[in-house]
Amino acid sequence: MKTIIFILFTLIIFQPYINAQTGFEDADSKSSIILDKNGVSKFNITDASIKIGYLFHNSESRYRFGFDVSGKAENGIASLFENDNIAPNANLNLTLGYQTIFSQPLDAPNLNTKYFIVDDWFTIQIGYNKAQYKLFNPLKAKEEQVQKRNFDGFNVTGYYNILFKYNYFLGVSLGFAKLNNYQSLNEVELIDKTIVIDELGFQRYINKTQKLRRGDLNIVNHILLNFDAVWIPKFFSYRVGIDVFGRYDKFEETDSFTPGLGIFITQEGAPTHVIGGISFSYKDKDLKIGLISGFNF
Amino acid sequence: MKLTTTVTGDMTSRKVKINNLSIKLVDLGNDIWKSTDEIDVVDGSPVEFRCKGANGSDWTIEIKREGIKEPLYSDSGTIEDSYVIKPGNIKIK
Repeated sequence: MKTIIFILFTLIIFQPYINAQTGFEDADSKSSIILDKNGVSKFNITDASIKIGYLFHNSESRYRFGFDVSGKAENGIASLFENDNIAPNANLNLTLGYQTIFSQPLDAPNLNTKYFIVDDWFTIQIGYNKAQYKLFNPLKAKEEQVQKRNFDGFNVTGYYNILFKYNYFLGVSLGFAKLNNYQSLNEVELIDKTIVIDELGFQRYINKTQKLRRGDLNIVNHILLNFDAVWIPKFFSYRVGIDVFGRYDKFEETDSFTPGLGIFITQEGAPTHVIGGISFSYKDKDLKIGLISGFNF
Repeated sequence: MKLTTTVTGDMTSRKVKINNLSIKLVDLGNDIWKSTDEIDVVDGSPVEFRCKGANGSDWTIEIKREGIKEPLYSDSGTIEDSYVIKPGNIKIK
């Protein structure tokens, strides 16, 4: 608990010095756009995740590399403040990028400023995910009904991003990820009641409440294909970004496609620095709404 | 002469040339790209700043002599058509 408060406090204090790396993302923190920014601090209210990262780059090099670490409370934002209910989930991602593939380098002797492709970059991210989950199985013996399960995940994703004239960003990503079904398991509240009777016969009830997921943890390999088309029009003084996105997910014999729309507010004078936004995605006949903050919560 | 070049702003690429020498800008975070270089400059030495990025992005460039507060060259603006190419001259102060 103290650690979480410290992280939140640190992020609030250092927010003026770090900027969103890719704010153009949906409620599940997914995006196919990796922007060339130095630092990332992001709090996704919908999936209760926190991310801190850094991208190293010098202007002479077409290469850049970086890392980010993120943490997530699987039981939602409220669980951040309840010690017993945290299902910790930590990620470490390493990033390697290469810029100016089809666009012109700035020191080109005959730089054509009318060229439609302004900039483009390819990024590859390799990630490791460690999580611990508490699961409930009422069919087992009492001592074995609540079990902790560790999970080691892995993902590798390639992103290609392109900036066109008139402020159109296009992003496509293709990734492989070893994931689990924890989020799809039903949440249950387990209450253990203990009766304590003192020497005078006075009775007290002690309740211990835990939020758990019921069922078995299955580990599944996913193929993920995402695209984002972002437009930052002059009409709103470059302060609003509109993101039309799609998320395709294939695992085992199942596949799904989630279309969506995001509307983001950007910093004045920095149209790619997202400071907040809302996204709508349509999945399994349900509308999912995501709130994202560059850290103004 | 030791010069410090500082560039800030929301750009995807940036490049600075002084006396036709390309200056390497190192990312120090918070959009501050900085370099310290020993370069022979005389009054009127040519400087060229190039950047590209999304329209509406603010940018600033400042070139200082070590130990002197007043910049030898400074400029700022907003990217209005994806590219900025700003040639100038360093004024020895």
